[in-house]
Amino acid sequence: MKIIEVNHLSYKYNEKDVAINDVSFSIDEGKYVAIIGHNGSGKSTFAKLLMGLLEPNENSIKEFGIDLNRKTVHELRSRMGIVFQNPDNQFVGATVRDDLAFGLENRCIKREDMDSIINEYAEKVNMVEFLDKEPENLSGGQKQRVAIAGVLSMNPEIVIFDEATAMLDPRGKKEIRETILKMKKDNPGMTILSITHDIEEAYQADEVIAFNDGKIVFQGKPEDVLKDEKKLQEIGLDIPFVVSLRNKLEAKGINVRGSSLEEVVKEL
Amino acid sequence: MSSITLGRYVPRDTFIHRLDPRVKILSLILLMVAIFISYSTWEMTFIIGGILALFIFLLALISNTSFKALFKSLRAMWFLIIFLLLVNVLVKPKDAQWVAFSIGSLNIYWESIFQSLKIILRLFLMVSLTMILTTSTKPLDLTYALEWYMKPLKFIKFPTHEVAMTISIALRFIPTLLNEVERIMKAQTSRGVDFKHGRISSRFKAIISLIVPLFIASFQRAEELADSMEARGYNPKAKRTTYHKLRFSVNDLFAFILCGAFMAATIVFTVMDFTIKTPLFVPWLVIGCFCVLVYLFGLGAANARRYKK
Ligand SMILES: Nc1ncnc2c1ncn2[C@@H]1O[C@H](COP(=O)(O)OP(=O)(O)OP(=O)(O)O)[C@@H](O)[C@H]1O
Ligand SMILES: [Mg+2]
Repeated sequence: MKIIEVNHLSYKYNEKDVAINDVSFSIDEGKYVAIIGHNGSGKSTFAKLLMGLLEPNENSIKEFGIDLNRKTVHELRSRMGIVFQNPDNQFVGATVRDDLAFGLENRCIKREDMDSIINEYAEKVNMVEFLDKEPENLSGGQKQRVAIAGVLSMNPEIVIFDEATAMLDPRGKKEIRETILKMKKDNPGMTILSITHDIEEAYQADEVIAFNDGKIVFQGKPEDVLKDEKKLQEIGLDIPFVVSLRNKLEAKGINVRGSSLEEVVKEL
Repeated sequence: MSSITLGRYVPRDTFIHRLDPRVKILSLILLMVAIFISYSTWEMTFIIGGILALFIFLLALISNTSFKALFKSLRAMWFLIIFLLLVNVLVKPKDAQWVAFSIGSLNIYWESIFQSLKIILRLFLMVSLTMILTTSTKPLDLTYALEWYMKPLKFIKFPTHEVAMTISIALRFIPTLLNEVERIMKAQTSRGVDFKHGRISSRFKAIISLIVPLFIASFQRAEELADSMEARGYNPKAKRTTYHKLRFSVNDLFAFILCGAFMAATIVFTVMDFTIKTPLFVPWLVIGCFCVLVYLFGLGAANARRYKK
């Protein structure tokens, strides 16, 4: 089933800059989709449009088969969740516990049920021991895990990550990547859109969509898209050395699968 | 940044920490009234002041508030204190006649000295009380309590929930913004901006170089936060449940009675114009203090039993 259908979607913040330029495509239910593109190519704008945080042009977005407009936005939004880039700017509560409660309060969950839900989802992202900690005493990765728990506790059918790992150190990045994979395993039916600059993460996805200047320039399997180095460079994306090396080896008929230089060298 | 940490919440598990924030706010007001009531004689002022000081000292002790921090607040007010002292001592009170000493032709009166001492004592007690409240109560709980007190305003369409939400977000972002200030200061210092030295005009420029990026960053933060809150289903107009429940317990009732009694007693003293010479005043005072002590002791013992498992 097509869970997201986009038809001739355009958006501009002001007369001059067209952030999204006549985009059409669709995403199947249960897919893990990576969205790539250079800075300012319109990825975040696109994510906000899908969440109804920006108003799309008429009849351009359908989610769950329902047209997204002012009347349906609250209902549709309640079936989706988004994790943004900056760990600090999405932490609303005074403590982890309060932050998780914030989403439940919005959903009018009964107070008596909240504690068990909070514990359940804190457990899923390994944050139980930090429940009473304030955000300033948490690392960026921990805050992002709280954000993920907050989103998961709403039982969303679509989860969007807008560069959720971009501001984290390597350890934080790894934590979040693992959390996302675990989340995918626990909820096979969940559709995940992950906006990322991390080509490695894009490799883990079922499908890759590449943006360039407000337009979609690719949609397809990661292997097909990410191998075309020339094309990627054309749209302003850096390819990590390992990936480039791997591609070159493959062209010579040597197949390796390691994702870090050491692993590749070891395999060789 | 140390001045900002003064009076900051310190997580502990004391009797006072556990009290209902609504009761704490109300008690603060009751005790403030008691502190600010005036008496016709100096002895009364200092006896009641002393008793209140002793009581507040006890509160600080129970709530585990550091005395160092309390006295630091006094140090933070040094300018105000010196100013008050000077004004009071230099200006002759109307019916002052009790000369303490003279400097040249200038007479310094005992009355003025007492007057300044009284003001300083009141200021100190007031600040101490407030600090005990803020170090023993989570800012968020204070916000909920304020929201509760603002409830009647809902009838005149006052956005009590929005105000409470705004305050709690502001509280949540204070440390984040302080970090940001530090970061921008470092960045600007590395570009040669000097915040600590130089003429007023160049320091003013330095401050501008801090404020402008801080504002821009804060606006961006606010926008992202708003997006995130909206995405998580926040709608101030819609119905929401609340996670926090303010609980009024027996202890709260006792604390409220105690503070209420203090205020009532001081009002009775001033209205009936009590002095130490009033017949039976001293025995009654002693009995009253003894009762309060027994009461506190009983409360302490009862709670120690309840919480020690
Ligand atoms: N609030 C805004 N007001 C005006 N223009 C904006 C606003 N947000 C984004 N833009 C512009 O819209 C275009 C697309 O921005 P967008 O944030 O969607 O890009 P992005 O692909 O997410 O970039 P990045 O990788 O840096 O996150 C850019 O040219 C940007 O300058
Ligand atoms: Mg972006």
